[in-house]
Amino acid sequence: MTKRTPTGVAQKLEKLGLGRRTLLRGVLAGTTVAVGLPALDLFLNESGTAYAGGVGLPTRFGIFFFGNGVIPSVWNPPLGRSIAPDTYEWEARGMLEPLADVKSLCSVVSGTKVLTTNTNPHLSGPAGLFAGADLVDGTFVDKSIDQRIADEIGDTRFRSLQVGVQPSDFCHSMTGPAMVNPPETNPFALYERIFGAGFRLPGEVGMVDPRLGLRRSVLDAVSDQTTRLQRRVGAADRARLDQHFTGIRELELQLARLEEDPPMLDACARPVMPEADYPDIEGRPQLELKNRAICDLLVMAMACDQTRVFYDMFSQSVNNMLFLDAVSGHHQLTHDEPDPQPEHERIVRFIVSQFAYLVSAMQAVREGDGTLLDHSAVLFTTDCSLSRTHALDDYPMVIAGNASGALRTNVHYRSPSNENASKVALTLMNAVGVTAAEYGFGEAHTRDSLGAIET
Amino acid sequence: MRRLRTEARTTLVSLLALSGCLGACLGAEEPFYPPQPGELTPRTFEPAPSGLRRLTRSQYLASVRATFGDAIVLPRLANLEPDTPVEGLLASGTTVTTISPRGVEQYESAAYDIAEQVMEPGVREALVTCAPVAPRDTACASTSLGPIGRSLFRRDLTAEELAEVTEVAAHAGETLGDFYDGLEFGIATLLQSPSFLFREELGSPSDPADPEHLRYGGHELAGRMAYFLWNAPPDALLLDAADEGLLEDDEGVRAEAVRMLADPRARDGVRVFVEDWLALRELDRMVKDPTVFVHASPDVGPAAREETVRVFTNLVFDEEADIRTVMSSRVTFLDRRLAAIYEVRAPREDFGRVELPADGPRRGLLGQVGVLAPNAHPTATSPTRRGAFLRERLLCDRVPQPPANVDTAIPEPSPDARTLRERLVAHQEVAACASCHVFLDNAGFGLEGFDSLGRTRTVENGAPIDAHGEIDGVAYDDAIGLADFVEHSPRFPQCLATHAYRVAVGRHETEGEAGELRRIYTRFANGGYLFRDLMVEIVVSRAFREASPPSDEEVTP
Repeated sequence: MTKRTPTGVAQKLEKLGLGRRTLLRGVLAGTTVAVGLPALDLFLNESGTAYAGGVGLPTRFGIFFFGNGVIPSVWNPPLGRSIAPDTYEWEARGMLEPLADVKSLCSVVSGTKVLTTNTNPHLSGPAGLFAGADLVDGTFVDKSIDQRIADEIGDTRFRSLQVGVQPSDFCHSMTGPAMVNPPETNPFALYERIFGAGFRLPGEVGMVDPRLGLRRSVLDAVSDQTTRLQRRVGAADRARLDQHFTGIRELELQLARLEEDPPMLDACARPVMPEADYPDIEGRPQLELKNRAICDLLVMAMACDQTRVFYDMFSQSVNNMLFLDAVSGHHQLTHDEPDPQPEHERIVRFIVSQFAYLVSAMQAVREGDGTLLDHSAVLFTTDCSLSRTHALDDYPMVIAGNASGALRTNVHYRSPSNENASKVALTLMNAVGVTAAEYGFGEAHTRDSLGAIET
Repeated sequence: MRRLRTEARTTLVSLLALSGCLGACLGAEEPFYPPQPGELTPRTFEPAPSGLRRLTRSQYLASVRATFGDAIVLPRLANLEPDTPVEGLLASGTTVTTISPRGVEQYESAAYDIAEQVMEPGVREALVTCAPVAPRDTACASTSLGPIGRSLFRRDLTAEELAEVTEVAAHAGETLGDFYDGLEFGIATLLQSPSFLFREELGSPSDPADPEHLRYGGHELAGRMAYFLWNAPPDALLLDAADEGLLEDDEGVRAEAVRMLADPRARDGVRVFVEDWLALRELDRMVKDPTVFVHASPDVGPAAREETVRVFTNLVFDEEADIRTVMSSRVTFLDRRLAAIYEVRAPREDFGRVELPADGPRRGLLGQVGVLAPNAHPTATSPTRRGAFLRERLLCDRVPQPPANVDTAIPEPSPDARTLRERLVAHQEVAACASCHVFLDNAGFGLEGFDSLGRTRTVENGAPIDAHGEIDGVAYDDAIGLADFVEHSPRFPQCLATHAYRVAVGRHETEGEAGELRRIYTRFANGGYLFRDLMVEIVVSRAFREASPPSDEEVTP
């Protein structure tokens, strides 16, 4: 039975006293009964800024991804003063110039290599970095890193959130092979999902809707049906239903969270409702406005502790969007534009500026003695290094945030030896509180993290 | 499950790793259809494993509509778990993908939205025929939920299932003080159940002595047939036929299939097939530069999809024509936008019938925006992409992933090489690239007379367009010659049949099904290539109706 409750969602419900049908017993015929439940603020000290008992605020993990790669010679900042072996000061130049204002909050990692067999020009890189292995049957062999992290630290209303700016159904965030978590790319829908009906601000008194309990009883019945169906199918379908089951239990947990008093977090506020639509103008998507809207919601979702893990798919691999005033699609430019590819460079600089917006927005949220960004690690990366050849060496990575003090910021680590990029993944997992001794499979396997960017 | 495609790809991948692109583009995918039927020793038929198929978005909506009627407002497509293509087909995604946590939220929200509507006074009478005596009335709840469950699950609910959902509804009725409010929760349970969201096509042994050989039971087979032929759940007639045992033999299945294909719903089945086969979904998010193309707008993509579907369904249902003529037909269906792009007079009504001029350069599938535009760049054409489309989707040639670690740059326009075609010569002269680029580009050059959006053109950068080429040793002059090659290649109808089979079963064919596929194809060909015959032969085939037990071995990374 334990096998049927992956990620321990059931145990979490149990811990909260929200075992099967518990709540329902408190809801009586025809009467609206507000059921008091353990509130998260029990764990906070009086100022509401830090967990009691000296434990710090939660650490978050995120990925901000864009498609189509870079030009490493223009992306990598020139090596500044050496401050440790292979570790340098850095200046925001070239493609990373838009990070100038937040540079001290970020570290650059260059010169590592994603050690997967490069069989799929825009997916082998993400497969190696995010799932640690070659593609098998065109998909990841295992759940992606954000989901592994969410298993450990995703004990919030949303175990994780997947968002994006370019409309698409694909995301590297996967709960297993071919089990994609589609990104929400409509800001209004994202707002509704997080801050719509049922959401309460810290301190906001609300009558608990008896329908919440009834909805949980429905989900309870649906999970029973799922478990029964699992007994009648083969292993592959059982795994599919396992994922479905997990989703159902997660929704039960979400509803239970809505019945609790919301966590007392100073920075939590209801964000401004985004536009209903961001239509293309003259065939060009309103990327900047949409990115702001998505980032603002994401940041507030974390400030209100509605989630601690996100995957932001800013643009898709192989996307041919018309950025800025470019005359050709981005992917086509990466291949066809003659050197030194000024249009491609301009587009990547624009994307870096969009990441810089997210970093600034996270830095602007005060939390305890620091900021939301201080309690986060956000990996900024793409699907290959040199776009034109889809190379996997010298993989472009920037990490924002110090993960509550676990990561070193404001440095540029440049590997002289094509080190395994999995080391960075292992470092990130450990930094946000996941105890892992190794990362990756086969060639990409590592037991070493990247000490140079750890504190 | 053994998938030919996967095995083939593995070999190809190792090949690529050794030699870059060299030698990777070899031609036809698998010799399922030898030139002389019966040339190969027919293998023993080995049915493929049974399993669950997730409802696509449109199947979900059709199922809700079939159960609750046409009056209800359906959830928006964007608010349902997306369909995910696997191996190029959404249909193949249905046997592999699952429902994400966000999808669970979306189905929940849709379930309450639907349940609330159908419990409105004036609507609910169709579903609740008993008079509830109390907010908690298990008898009336059970009587109402049984038939709804049967319709949604495509089978009768087990006693346990019915008791469970009845208790949910009765308890909710008691809590909320209203029977109908309570019933909403019962209906919402059914709408979120995996037995609704997944089609249970599990099969069972027809002979207890042979547990490895499964057949799809009457209701399972009815579901398989209906979702393939109609993209909708089975109707009462089909379920009755199943209950009467009429789907046990070839003749019964054939008779039902013929009836279903005469029903207007069959157009939905064919529509979904065409959209999946030609990947027309790409048209919804197509990017074209409107500063270059005055005719480009977000509406052009969906309009082009409609055109391509209508041309196909017209040949299937109205003309009852040899489906290969889809490559050369001058009859099409246009709205004003497409008519402007095609430079013909717009029909009086949108998507009215238009006959393209006999002496014009445009005819058939390869002259449609739905094929030309998505397989090109936002401003430039792409003989490579168009060639890959033609190879993969029309001829079932194997097209590998472009190689990694190869410099893909093409020279800028120069006085010596003004057109894209001239610039692409670079790819044909480097040995590592030539294998694939000769294979792909030479198939795509024929469409260079159409720009990125699909308008005709005769010059590019001031240089005349050259659209001649050679495909598989056959020379052609232009798009019409290229289309003629495809139309008369035996691989085209074979490829069409292969795709129809893949859509029908939601996966690639297996080796053990080769004989059955050959039989399906032969009958399709002998009957004069009527697409409806093909659909009938698919559902009558043993490959569609029989199965083997799925593996019970856990997969570990």
